[in-house]
This record gives sequence, C-alpha cells and structure tokens, in this order.
Amino acid sequence: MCEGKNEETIMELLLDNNKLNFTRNDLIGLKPYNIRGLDNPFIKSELRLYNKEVLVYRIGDTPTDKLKIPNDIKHIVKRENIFKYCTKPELEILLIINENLYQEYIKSKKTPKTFAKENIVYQRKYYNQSSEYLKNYYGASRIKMLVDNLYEYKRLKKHNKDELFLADLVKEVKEKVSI
Amino acid sequence: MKILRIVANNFKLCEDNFTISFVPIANKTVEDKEFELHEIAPNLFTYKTLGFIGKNASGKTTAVELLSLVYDIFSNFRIKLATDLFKYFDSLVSLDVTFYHDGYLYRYKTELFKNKDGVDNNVILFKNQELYRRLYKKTYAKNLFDFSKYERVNYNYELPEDTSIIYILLRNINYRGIYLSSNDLGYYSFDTMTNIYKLFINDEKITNSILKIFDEHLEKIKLLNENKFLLSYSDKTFKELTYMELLNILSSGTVKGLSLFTFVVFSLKNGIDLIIDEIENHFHKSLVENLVNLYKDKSVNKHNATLIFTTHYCELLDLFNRSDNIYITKYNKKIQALNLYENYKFRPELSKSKKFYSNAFDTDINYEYLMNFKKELMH
Repeated sequence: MCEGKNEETIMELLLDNNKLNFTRNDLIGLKPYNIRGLDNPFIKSELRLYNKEVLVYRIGDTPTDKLKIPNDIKHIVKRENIFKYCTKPELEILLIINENLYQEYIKSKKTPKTFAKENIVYQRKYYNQSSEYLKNYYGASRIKMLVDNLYEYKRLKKHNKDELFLADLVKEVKEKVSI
Repeated sequence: MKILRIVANNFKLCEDNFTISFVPIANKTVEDKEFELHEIAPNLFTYKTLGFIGKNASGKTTAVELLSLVYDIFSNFRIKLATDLFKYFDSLVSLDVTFYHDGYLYRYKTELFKNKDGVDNNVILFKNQELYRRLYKKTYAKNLFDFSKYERVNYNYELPEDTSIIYILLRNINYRGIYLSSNDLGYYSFDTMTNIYKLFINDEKITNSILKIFDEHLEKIKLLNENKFLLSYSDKTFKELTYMELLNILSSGTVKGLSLFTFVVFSLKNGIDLIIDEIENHFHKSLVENLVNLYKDKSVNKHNATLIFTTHYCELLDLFNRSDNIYITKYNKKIQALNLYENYKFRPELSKSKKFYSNAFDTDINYEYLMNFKKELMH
C-alpha cells in the first residue's frame, strides 16, 4: 500500500528493475496500490479473491494512523502482519541525497518537497512532484542511484522502533568473487 | 471517442428525456481517480464501470438496449445490429448524444424511424440530424452540457437516409462498443468470439490463460485452420476437433467464459466499451468481481474502456466506490433510470447492498403476488 502516487512510482520502478526481495508475482493483483485504507472495494475484492493471509507493507512518509481492518477481511489481514516502511519526512529526501544536497537541505529548514522544487534540476527541468519526473529521474540505468539513495537514507536517518526502511526491502546482491 | 451522455425520447417504453450519463456528478476522491474514473482529457472524467439494477421487468435491459443502439450508430454509422429494437415500435425515436472526440466536445442529435414504405421494413432511417461541437478546455468540465457555445458542424455530403452523419467524423467502421444480451453468451457469441479472436487478438497465451480459469483440466486450444482445433489437456493428451465438436466437448460454462473473456480482452486492449446484460447470469460471483476489477485497474485498462452491466444482485454494487455510476430502473407507466446519487442522495460510503435489502429503493418483489402464487399451488 503506497501512501501516494510518487511512492507507487518508486515501488513500480524498483519492481520493474527487479531490485526488491519480492517480485510482482508475490503481490496481490500483481501490483502495488496507491491506497491509504483497506475499505476501498477494489482492494477488498482483490484480497477476497486471494482469500489467504497476507503481509501488508505500508509505504509512506510517516504513516502514523492505525490501519482499520474491515470485518470481512480480518481473516486475510492480521494486525501483526502490517509493516511500515518510511521515507521521513518526505519522499523527496531521496532525491536530495542523490544530489549531495542533504547538508544544504538541513540548513535551509525547508520541507524536502519545497527544497527539491527549488534546487533539483534534471534534464533542464526543476523537480515538479510528478510521477513522470520521478520515472525519468530514477528510470533506466539510474535505478542504481535509487538503490544507493535508499541505503544512504538508512545510514543517515533514525526511525522509531516500528518503522522500517525501504532499504530493508531491497534485494541483496551477492557479488561475484573471483579467485 | 468517448460517449458522455445520452438523452432519448420515445425509445420503447422509456420516459421522456430518458438519460444515461457517463460523467461523474458526485465528488471525486483521489482513490476514485485511481480506480473508478478515467481521465479522458485534462479534468474530463468518465466512469470505468456503470451499473443498472432493478426488479424483473423494470427496464434494465431496455436501458442497455438504448446504449446498444447508440454504439451501433457510432460503430457502423447506421442501424445494423439493433434493428430488432424497432420491431414492435413505430414511434419516432429521438437521440441527443454528447461525446468527446479528439480534443472536441460534440453534440449529435438525430431522429430515427422505421422505413415502412420500403421493400425491407427492417431498415431504420435517420432524419433531422444535427452535429455541433466545441473545442474542449479543462475549465469547461463543469459545463459540458451547456450547449449555448457549441457551433453547428456543416457538411457538404449527401448521405443515404439510412446513414448517420457521424460517419463524416469517425469514418472507419469499427467496434466502439459491444453489446452482449443476456442470452448471447452461448453458441452464437462463440461464433463472433472466434472471429474476433482471429481478426484482432490471435494470441494463444491469452486464450489459454482464460481456458485455465474455467476448466483446470484443459491446457490449450490451438486453431489449426478454418474449422480445426487442437484441444490439449493437462495430462498431456490431446484431441483434434471440428468447430462443432469443440463446442460440444467444452462445458457450457467454459464456452460462455471463453466468449465473454475474449470480448473483455478485445474491449480492454482497444478501449472499446463492453455492455453486458445480466452479468451474473453465467458466472461465479468472484469471477464477476474479478471482471469488474480488471476494468478498474489502470495497469490493465490502459485505453479507457468502460464496463456497463445490468444485474439483479445488489451485492455486486458494493464493488462500486461511488454511487453516481449506479442507476436504478423502475417501470411505473414509463421506464425510469434513477441515479443513486442524484435521485436518492445516497452517500457512497454506505453499504449499497444493505440499503437494497432494506428496500430503500423500492426494489423488493411484491410479497402479496408471491403469496398469491403459493396459494394457487396449495389448492
């Protein structure tokens, strides 16, 4: 479950490039959802079609609200199987890290979104919060940067106990060792 | 091309200004924009699904027949498939259709009548046809049906009387909507389905994935030539069959499933609207749920196809996150299509099926009539 369109885009990019420790085949309906609650009829019926226990990964800035589980899917979604993966305070922090502007951003005291809009330029365009921009920015061969940024974010930031990092979902790559 | 609204007069038993709209009137949430609505142009939204519910003989089928008539005009530019609708009616039907095409909003008005003087009285003729248009801008989204700023489109063609002037705009004869009546999903449509398959899909992987849903003992069907099929089973055995043998050997559920889902593939891949009368007729509820979800899923429905269906089962309407894309049909002297949001002020977050079961929309079967029938059996 992605909190917004841009979180969904990031997850789609990681999935399409096989960078996660799960694949589309592991996802209900073969895709991540831009959805905040479980009471939407679309997600409910997709879950009912599967009709077995699932793990729920909530991807967002800082999902603080308690996720309501509708009665008719309580046998599918168990409270203990819900996990939060955060990019605090906002997703744009990843782009800021990528541009080596993290210290400047801290000094600016602006939100990551505002800072990114004012300071990040790619292909002659300022960051505009759109999914298309993100796809261009992190797409194709630049996907490696996204993965690096997720690790760097984990190194830089501290989370609460119940908040996991997107880097925890990245597939471990075993490097070839030549003897 | 996407139809936005149809207003009909004198169509079968429908009331005056019988209206079906594809444009949302209630608020649009972020989730609605994700799952329930197509954005066909900036700020111009249409439904991904549209449902009709009502008692038996309340006019559900008539409502979708009206759609079949309009799609016939927009696909074939004459009345080709929907001539039967005029069989028992001699009145002058008038249509007023608003649609979006290629950056413009259009209004098409026409009258239709049966050619009683001709040799073939199955021919339906057009008269008083008018076409208007207006360049679409995103600020017009709230005034789509304010026709004062539309301009008349003049054309210098002399077209035959049985031909719609929509031809001058769309040109190519092409499916723009497919109508499946409630008894169509049998052998008749299997025939059309195989034609559609050969012409447009021709992808064994898709057919075989459909086949597995309906009969897990089957592996694949391969079209060998015009009238020869190779049917393979999961246990690796296979049979070479003629078309008729294939129809007899497959279960009726599989035949119907293959037909319907082939139309679904065709519709989704080409952005063609699909109209199904009594969607629950032949399938398990979860299959219908899955079908509705395919139309809501933008990773599958990439070309703005809309699924329109009638049903007796109000549980299916709980799949809708909105209420303005649900019409309740009623037959009270004339057939009415009442919008669940506009006419009942129904809040979308409420359970639609619970409200139906509590007879909030006056859709219950008359208890007295049922008991009269039982009494007759008791005598």
